[in-house]
Amino acid sequence: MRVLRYVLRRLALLVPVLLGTLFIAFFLTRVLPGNPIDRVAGPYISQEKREAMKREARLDLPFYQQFYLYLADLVTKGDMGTSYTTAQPVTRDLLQRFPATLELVLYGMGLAVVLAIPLGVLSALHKDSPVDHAGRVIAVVGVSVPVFWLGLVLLYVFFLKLQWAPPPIGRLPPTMSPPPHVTGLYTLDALLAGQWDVFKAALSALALPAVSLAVTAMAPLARMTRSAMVEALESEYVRAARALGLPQHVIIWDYAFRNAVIPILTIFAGVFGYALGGVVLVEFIFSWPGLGLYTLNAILSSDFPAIQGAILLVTTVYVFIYLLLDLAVAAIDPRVEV
Amino acid sequence: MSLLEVRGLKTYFYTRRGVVKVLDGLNFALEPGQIVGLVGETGSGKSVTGFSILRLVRRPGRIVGGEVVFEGRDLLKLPEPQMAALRGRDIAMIFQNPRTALNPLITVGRFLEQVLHFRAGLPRNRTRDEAVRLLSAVHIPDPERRLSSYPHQLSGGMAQRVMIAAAVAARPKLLIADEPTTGLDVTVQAQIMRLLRELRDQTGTAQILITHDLGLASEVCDAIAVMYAGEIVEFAPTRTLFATPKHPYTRGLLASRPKLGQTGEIPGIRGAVPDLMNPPRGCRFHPRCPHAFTRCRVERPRPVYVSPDHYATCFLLEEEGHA
Repeated sequence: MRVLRYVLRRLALLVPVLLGTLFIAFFLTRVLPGNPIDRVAGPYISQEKREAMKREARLDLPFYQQFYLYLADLVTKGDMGTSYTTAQPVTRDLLQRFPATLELVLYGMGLAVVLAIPLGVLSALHKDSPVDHAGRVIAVVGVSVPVFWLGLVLLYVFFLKLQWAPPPIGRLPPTMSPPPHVTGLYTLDALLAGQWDVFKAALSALALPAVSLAVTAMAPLARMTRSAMVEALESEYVRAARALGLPQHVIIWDYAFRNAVIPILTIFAGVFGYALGGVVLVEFIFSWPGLGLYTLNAILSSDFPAIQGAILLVTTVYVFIYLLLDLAVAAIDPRVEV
Repeated sequence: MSLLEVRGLKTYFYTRRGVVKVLDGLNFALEPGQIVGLVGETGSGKSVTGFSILRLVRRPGRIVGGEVVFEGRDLLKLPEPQMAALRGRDIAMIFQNPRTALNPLITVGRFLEQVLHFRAGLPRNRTRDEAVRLLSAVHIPDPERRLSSYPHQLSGGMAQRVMIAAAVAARPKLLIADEPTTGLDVTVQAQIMRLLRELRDQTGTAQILITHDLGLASEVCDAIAVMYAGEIVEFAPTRTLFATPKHPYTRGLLASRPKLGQTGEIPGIRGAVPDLMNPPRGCRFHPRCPHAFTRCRVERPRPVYVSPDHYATCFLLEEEGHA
């Protein structure tokens, strides 16, 4: 009950946060040069026609009125306007593209966690040994390799040379239709529908972009795991546990790791949020029809409604990630009250 | 046979600035069921002695020499797995700050049950009842309910009782108590000391009580080792030590205790604890000693026995003809 109240209170905070970011997005798009009408209309259209289009898009109105009307549409009808590039409602665009990005980021982060945490734990347990140094080298290389370069190298090796991976043309081969829509995550939907071949195809399309994403996310995770574990292993309670002769596995997992989990989770939330934004390069290389690519195109073509919608969505996701983080920390640490 | 015999124990810390000889040849012995106090100022090497016995000295510290003979076996020669098997089962330790010595994320119950399962070898279905029994043995009220408490919900005294309960769970023969009452209220201090004493009387657990408080040590200890700058300068049964202290440092310590009804200045020991990176040559106490003479500045004094269970490392005793 208390947890529920806390969640509701946090969600209520979402309102001012969204208003603020939306305001900034509105302001920036309208202050910066370029507007969608010029893009769509082209240079040879008559002045009257241009004005008419502007009126229709409400771009002739003062800034605060535009803002107010947009909010009114959003709140009453859930309408975020129509994209100039796709000619579809922005809401629909986002609902189609967000699962693609989410699936990619989930796999990428999952892979990063699976690799980085054991690496960090191992490094901490064998501090200053060759294992530790090797771990550090891997982490440094991971963070220094530009993701677009890594993506291209992976493609060159695994698609072009070895032909293990499918071509970088999206989430499924063109000959295959997506599984029945449930979550929008193709691998999950395919499993739910029992379509094994679709699942396998979706998974192999995910492999290279997910690996590219994972490699860059690994470094901060592994480093935080290592330092949090080292700190916990040098703590007074670990020393006391040793003095009591508790077995090594209890000391490592129940004492050190449990205490290290909180800083690791905190970094993870940051990395996850960062990946949602940084995924655009990966989507670009692998022609992944996700949110990053959509936002990039929207910005390049001054597609105001699309930019605003994407920013609202990403902000909401951020807020949710940090809410989940706080709930997780409260669940782990009895000293934290929600 | 002594339960524990420490001979020539040397623990050095290899810091970036140089080697700190925290323990440089420590000798003492402990009989089964005996409580011995290690008394000294901060930095005299008391805690390091405790950790050295358990071989839990942290880097950059390292045990570089000597013997720690426990029930006839030199612990310093045991392979690590055998040493680990001995910790908590034969020798346990409790700490200065009980609240940081408890894992903040697990409950008292889970902690005790782990110790009981892994160290006392109890099957999982019996650990809970035994944990309750342990908690009531250390006089924790409402033990059933306390099982679900987290360390931050306990007072300092309560946390130390939990620590003691865990330390004695496997009925060790030796308990090392490192400043177990520092930071606790005076009344709670007395309760904890009484508890430790009671424990010895009931189960015969020998104890090493590490403290800077000579008065506290005198209340529970059978014998006291006075430490100064990494060495034991005097060792004697408590009563003998108080009645006939032989080392100038011990005398200084005893004289510097405030007495009831005393007026005027309390006599102290002039000077400060030496830097163990560059300890004074000869007797480490000579720069502060009112009786120091030439020999003290060059030669290191050896223990001089004034009676079979009382020694002090001071040349004055040799001059007096005890050697």
